[in-house]
Amino acid sequence: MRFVPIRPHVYALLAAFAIATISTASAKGVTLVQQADGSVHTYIDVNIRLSGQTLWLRTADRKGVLKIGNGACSFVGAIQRCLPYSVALIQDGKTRQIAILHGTVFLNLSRTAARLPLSSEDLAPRTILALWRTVRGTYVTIKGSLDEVTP
Amino acid sequence: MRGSLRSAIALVLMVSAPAGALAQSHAGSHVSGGGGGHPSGGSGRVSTPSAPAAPPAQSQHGFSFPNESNVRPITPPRPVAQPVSNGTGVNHTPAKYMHSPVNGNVTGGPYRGQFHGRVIYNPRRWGGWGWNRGIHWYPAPIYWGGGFWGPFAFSGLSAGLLFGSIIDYQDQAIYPSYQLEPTSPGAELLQNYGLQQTECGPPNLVVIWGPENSVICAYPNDLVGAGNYELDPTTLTIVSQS
Repeated sequence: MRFVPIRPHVYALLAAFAIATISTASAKGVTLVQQADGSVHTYIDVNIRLSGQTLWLRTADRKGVLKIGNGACSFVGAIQRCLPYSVALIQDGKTRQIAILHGTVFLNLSRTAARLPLSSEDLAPRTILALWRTVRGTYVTIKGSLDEVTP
Repeated sequence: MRGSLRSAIALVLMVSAPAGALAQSHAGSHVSGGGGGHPSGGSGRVSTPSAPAAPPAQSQHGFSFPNESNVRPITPPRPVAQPVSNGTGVNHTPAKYMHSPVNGNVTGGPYRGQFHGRVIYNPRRWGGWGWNRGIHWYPAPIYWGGGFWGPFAFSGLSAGLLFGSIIDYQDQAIYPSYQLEPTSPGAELLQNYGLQQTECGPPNLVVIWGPENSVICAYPNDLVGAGNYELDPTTLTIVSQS
């Protein structure tokens, strides 16, 4: 029997692969905020956390947090559909309520992709799609994988 | 040897890193109508003015909601101007009647507290929350009926969705009804009982009172006769008025 020692460059290769994998596996959410005047802000690498029926979004720079309270959650197949009724912006040490008009949050907490209701689009496992409109006419769209799910 | 090592590491990083970037740019361009963006440093934000006159982003960090200051949460409108009806209803619509009080714990409208009659069990025999995969259903406060009949926000309701109303002449209150959404829990309820929704107003209909004083009407069938009913959202079961 012959043993072949693992060379240092193999370790380096594995480490590089691990780092690259981790960097693409977390905080992949994208949030678009379209103001009533038409300007659009796109936030990438947003951390998305679901705690009970509350959704937490945190910007990549960790300076802004959106807390979205959901209710009326029901299932359409494997897709859980909820209605957001309260949104709070926690930023600069202050909490500001954002009045929403209406919206829908789609969640796929299953292990397989599921078809969105009345749509041709699939929602990947552990992925969220949320859309809501504020009283002031701001549209917010959120899509991405859930970084954390707690009961 | 070192050259090959560097090449291998570079190859791994090149293959994996753009995958995430592509995913981001795809999602961003898809929703924002194809507008190109540029990442702004470490904040992870891309500003994409879609109109030439649009002002630039003002916030330098975190989320930016410049137009959302001092906006109070919406409350359902109280005065009722003139509920729209398709004309088949027998109820005349008083112009100055008030909307029914919205309260998550109140149901039954003018008949609240009177539903002690016959229980018509759901033919599907759902257990507690069985219809919702065992998940509790909580009303979403700013939505009509707590969102049980569909995602209709009070302020977003349009005349096109209105499906008649129940008028309480004694208390001078109007309980508007709306066309329910096909995939809502309310639609599941009607489907289970084989009921078909119709406009509220005419007599001899099945009148089902739901969360937050919401109400919908349906044609009677062999299982459910005309009259007032209260629903239990845990089991999608209805109880008749005593």
